Amino acid sequence: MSNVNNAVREVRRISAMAQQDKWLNRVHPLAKLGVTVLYIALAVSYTANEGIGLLGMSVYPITLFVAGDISAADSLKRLRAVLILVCAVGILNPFLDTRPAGHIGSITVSAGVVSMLLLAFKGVLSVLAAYLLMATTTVEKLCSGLYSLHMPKLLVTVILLTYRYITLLMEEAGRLQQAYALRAPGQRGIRPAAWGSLAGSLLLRSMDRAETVYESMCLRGFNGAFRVSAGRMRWSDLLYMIFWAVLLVLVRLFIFQ
Amino acid sequence: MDDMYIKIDSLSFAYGRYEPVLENISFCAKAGESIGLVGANGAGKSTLLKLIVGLELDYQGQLCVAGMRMEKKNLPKIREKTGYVFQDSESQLFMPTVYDDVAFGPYNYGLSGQQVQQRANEALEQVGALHLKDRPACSLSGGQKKLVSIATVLAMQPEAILMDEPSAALDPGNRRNLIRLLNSFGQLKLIASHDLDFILDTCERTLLIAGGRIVRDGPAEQILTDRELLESCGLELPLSLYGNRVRAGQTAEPAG
Repeated sequence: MSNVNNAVREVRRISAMAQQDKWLNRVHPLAKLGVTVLYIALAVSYTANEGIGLLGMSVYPITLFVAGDISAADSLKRLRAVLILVCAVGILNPFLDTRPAGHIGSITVSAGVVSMLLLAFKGVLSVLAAYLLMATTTVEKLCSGLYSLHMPKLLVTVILLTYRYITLLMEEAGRLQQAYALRAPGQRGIRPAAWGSLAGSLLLRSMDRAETVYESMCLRGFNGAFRVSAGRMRWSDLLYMIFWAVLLVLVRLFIFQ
Repeated sequence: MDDMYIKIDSLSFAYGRYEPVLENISFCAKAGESIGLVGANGAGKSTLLKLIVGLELDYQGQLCVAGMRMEKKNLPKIREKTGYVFQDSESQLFMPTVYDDVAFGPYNYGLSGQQVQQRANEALEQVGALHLKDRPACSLSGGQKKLVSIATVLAMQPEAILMDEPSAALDPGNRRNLIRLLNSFGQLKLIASHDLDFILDTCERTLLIAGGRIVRDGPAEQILTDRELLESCGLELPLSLYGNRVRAGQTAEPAG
């Protein structure tokens, strides 16, 4: 199966996970969004001197993996490309900053190595937090949460439609790639001479499908704004938010400092 | 003529500056009728359906639906009463779950949460797909997608249902199921197809279209058994009218 089709399948899997009827999925989207934003803000606020404290922040993703019955192995496999990219962000730091920062046994560790590891760990934790939010909340619910925060309707609708149309684009790309591969046996990838025509074809086909979807929406009364309700925030949702906010701030301030 | 749900008089339409796709189309359809729109590929069937739901507005002639002239200001009211089932069900199903998709229309027309829920459940039950309500649309089979896309339209409680090639890509069992379902509907049905057996099973009246014009308008059995007429329009007799099944290497002859 082609990479594009694999990607479409992964998007659908995550979407299916978000639609499950588990307690974590039932938590109000705003509560989960609030905790995720706070978590990422706290995680990225660690400095090189506090690096070890970042380990304490792992409590959030680990708890959610366990409590939400989400496979950590599958998730890491799914996110491997992003995680590699995130880890590579500080790859030049060891060469740029060679000042000694400490010792492990007889080995001197440079400040560049420490900052690289810190950057990588911050990145991994932030990506995991965002992934856990997506794996337990549908985009529609997230957007309805944003509506209730009085975000501009246009912006929220653009987010929703982008998510919807990206899947269409990926599906069309997968079909094109398959059609090409079936008539180019033994060829690895797509030869550069065909890129232009395939990209043009992809654009036209995606626009065609997107237009049909849009027509279908208009025929059922769509007037530019989605009406998806995230429901009312309950006491349990509020407790969830307060619990994590207090715990994460405590971890940030006191654990491993 | 006032009880006519669809009134079309001298309708012509072209996409941009290209050759006209429809020319001088005139017909009326009253509530409760079942009308088959048959013609070869490119005859203009789908375009005609799109005009009737206002997906194309740049037409010439008279086009009235549900007592309203087809123009931009009347679109919301016309579309509330006139459902359209696309040929490609996947384009019609875009929400995360089947239920969300079926509820999409009623929500947009401002019904209360309870009314939306009732309508969505009723529509799904009517097509026998209530058990699929929590499933994502992408996980459904082709037949299930077709049923759900019909439910999305039924949830709007339309007075007319327009369908573009509804039997395309359905297996015999799902096709039979769809015929039974369509025959149970009391609304005006306008079904565009070149599956003539399907039209014969679901419609009492047929409009035969060729080259963008209505060639014949009359009882389905009369038009769909006229071999010469069908062949002159690029079609063939429905398979069910053949005495022998068509097998490889065997010439089929019409019964009787």
